[in-house]
Amino acid sequence: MALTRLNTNAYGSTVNLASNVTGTLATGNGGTGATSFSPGKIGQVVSTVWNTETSTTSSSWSTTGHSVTITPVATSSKILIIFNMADGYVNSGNYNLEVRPYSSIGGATAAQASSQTPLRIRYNVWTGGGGYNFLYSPSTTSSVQILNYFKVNGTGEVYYHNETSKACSLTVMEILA
Amino acid sequence: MTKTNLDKFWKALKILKSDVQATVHGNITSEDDFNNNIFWVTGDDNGTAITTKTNPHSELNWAAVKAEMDKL
Repeated sequence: MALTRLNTNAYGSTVNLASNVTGTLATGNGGTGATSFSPGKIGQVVSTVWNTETSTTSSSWSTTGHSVTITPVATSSKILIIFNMADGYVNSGNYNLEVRPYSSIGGATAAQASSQTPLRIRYNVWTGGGGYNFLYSPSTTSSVQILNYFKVNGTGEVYYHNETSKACSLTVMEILA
Repeated sequence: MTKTNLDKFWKALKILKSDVQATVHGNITSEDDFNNNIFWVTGDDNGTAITTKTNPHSELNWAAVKAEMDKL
């Protein structure tokens, strides 16, 4: 095994590695061999679960009540939204359940975080799981509340969550620049 | 089972007023639930529902809805 000895007499009783060691510390000496360090990109992770029965006949976007709040440390950060639906339900008939993320920045009125729908359940009679991932760029260091909204596409009732014994999750990760 | 009860609630609502739009957070098993768990849709603002917890439909009171639910 390679070994490097530092003569402390030449530098005093304490060796200042920041000023006296340059270049790459070889792996044989316990270093990484890397010439630079790239820090991790996941700044923080927040998650909430939801097990309240939630249903609607609204053909306009209506809040499910399920939300999660994160405060980015930099305006350059992105927020990765990960949603897992545990127990959605389309009762019957030829209509669809749609879910879309909204955001409330700094306590303002919630607005659509996505102009497109990332989750649509299209079957005539359907029950079960689903989900979406969405990368959001709020460009703020204020608190960001992500809320799932839902609606029925057609005429009928749809369930964002059907039974309290199940739970769906909404997770957000701050992705640093 | 929750779904069965909520199914009855939605069916009862449609029997009494077929075009009513609302969102329900939780179950509807009592008058308190009826008064507190329903967000009635009263309009649309650029695709987002305008809602109120104050029931705007005089014909949709708890007694009428419960009576229809009990028939199902």
